[in-house]
Amino acid sequence: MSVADTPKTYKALVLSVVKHAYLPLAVAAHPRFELVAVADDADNPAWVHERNQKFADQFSIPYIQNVAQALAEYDFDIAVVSSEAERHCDLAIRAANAGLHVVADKPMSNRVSECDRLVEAIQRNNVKFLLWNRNFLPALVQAKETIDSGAIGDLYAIHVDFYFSKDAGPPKGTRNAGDPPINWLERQLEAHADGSDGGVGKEPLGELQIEGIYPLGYVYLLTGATVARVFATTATHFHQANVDNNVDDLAAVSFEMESGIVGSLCIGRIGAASHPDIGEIKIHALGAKGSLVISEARPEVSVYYRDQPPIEFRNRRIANENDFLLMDNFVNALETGSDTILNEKDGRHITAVVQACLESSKSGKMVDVL
Amino acid sequence: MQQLNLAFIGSAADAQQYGSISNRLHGARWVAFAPLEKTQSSAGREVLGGARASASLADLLTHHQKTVDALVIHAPPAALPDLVKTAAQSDKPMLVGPLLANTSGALRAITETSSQGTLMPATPWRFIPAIQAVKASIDAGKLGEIGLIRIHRWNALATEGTYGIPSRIIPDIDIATWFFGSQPQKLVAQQSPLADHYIQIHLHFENGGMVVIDETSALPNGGDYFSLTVIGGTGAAYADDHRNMNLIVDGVYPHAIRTGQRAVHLAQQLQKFIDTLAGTLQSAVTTHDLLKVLQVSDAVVEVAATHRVSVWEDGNYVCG
Repeated sequence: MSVADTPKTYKALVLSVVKHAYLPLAVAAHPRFELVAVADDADNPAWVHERNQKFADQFSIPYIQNVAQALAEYDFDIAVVSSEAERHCDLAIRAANAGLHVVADKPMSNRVSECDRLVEAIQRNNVKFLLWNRNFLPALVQAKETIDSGAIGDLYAIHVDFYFSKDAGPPKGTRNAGDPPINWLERQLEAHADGSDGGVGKEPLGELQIEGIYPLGYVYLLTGATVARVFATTATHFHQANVDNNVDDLAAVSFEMESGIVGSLCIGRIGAASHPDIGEIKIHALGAKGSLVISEARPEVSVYYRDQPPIEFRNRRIANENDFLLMDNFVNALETGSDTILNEKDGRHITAVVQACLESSKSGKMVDVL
Repeated sequence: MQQLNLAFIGSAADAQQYGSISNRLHGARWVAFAPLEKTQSSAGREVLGGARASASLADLLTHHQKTVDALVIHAPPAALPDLVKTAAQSDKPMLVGPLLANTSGALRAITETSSQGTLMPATPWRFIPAIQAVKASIDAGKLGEIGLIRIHRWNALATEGTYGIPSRIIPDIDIATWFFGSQPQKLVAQQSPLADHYIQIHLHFENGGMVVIDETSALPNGGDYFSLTVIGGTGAAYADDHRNMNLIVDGVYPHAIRTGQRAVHLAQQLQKFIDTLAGTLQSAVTTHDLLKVLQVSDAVVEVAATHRVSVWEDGNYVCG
């Protein structure tokens, strides 16, 4: 193979890596990408720098505590944003303004106004954006192919059940009288050890905000339509940290789409005791010619053995190429100009749907998605 | 042991189903049968073990009133008011279904003609084995306080026993309110402009509990599907046809077939009725229970057309 035939390797700047590191790891695992450096702002607290440094050391790449300096000194193609949710957009905007394409962790932001700024920056700089999602899981690929084939006809309703059977600190009702409320950030920092720190940041995030992107991403993938109106109910039903910080851990959403499709989403962080594996996650789609029931976990294998640790999943997912296919999708977007599977406008819309849900749960009324 | 003498009033086909559970009943037997249509009297008699056949309910009550202890009436909602009115004249206890009424107004009209103490509305859906198993887990406290109930119910285009949206949604509204043990405080419902046979319902309870139900009656090829998820504070239950399917591999794709459960639910319900009459159980379901469910159903139908939220105020649902 000549040099001319060698496909380009895209150089990646990791802009903060403070959560579980699945996103930069997925980028590093794809043969068309190379992690070059980690960067973050110097005024972050010590725990942020510790995590950034640890990740940089893992890949033997520099950690630069100055984003502008990193952008100036290195020749990057893409930025990988994996900070706290409240900083996602700001870091992504700075990367886009430096001409970098962006892969950002979910949620896109906890504010629609921030998403608007990011959409403007991505489009003004003519760069690509991919919001991390699970739309390439094998069951989702199958669902998409089945619907696109016309096997069940035109969709008129879609429902997603998305229950993560994870704990999140002490159960609801366990705080003793006189004890202080649980500090959100401290709880999330503790949760880093078991990877359940998806809501890490100063601002508390409910389950709709943390994980809602995934099921709403499924709805968008399978319908190709946007949500127009929602009615939502939320509760703090399981975890004391959610109670103390007034953010949901269980929610139900009914929605109407611009296309006339209606649907619903039920989501919750329902506790580890409530499912033998990661949780019950299903899609129910109804079409003019038939219907589809999809279990997100499939394919999987079951493994049981003597002295099996109780926290080990008995059913294990297999053939999961979601990470690879997302990054392949990103490569394709970079090289052909096509859209990514979940671009900046899609991410902004999903954030707006979540915001409308939270408004609806407070007002008790149906709310238009703006 | 004293046997309770039962009379069945219904179609020959339904008589066959009730006849198939005769040998499971404790303390009761079929002694009389009246068809909905006069021509079916002999067919029903055969499947109910030789029960005495009459041409109609009125005829049955005229000739066999002394030998019959209780009535089991199984008929379409439209036929029930007249049947119940006729039956009430005998003052016999009766189990009436599969759905006594599909609106609160219809139920009030029926109960005006019958003493509530002798009228037990059928709720066969409560006696489905999966529903019973989940309810037992709830009652045992295994799931903790219920936070969410999710039901997907898809019926085929021509499923027998479906008589419009109220009749189709009442069983699941009943299951949800039975599990929660209270009345929803707020509700919305939506119908797709793309499919008039479809409805979805969203209920909100005072303790923050929520229910989401989607129901269609347009599945092709005679198939149907049911899925129930109950999420509680300390556990969850999943009663799901998806899990209960076996496979037939005979062509391009394997076909899923649900494992049969026969008429276990009818036997359970009838036994409960019998035990209630024998005094060993309190009535499982009353017309007052059904009225509360029908108030929800009425409100659902109203808001589905208006895209509004309905709120429970002073014993009624009011559109906001």
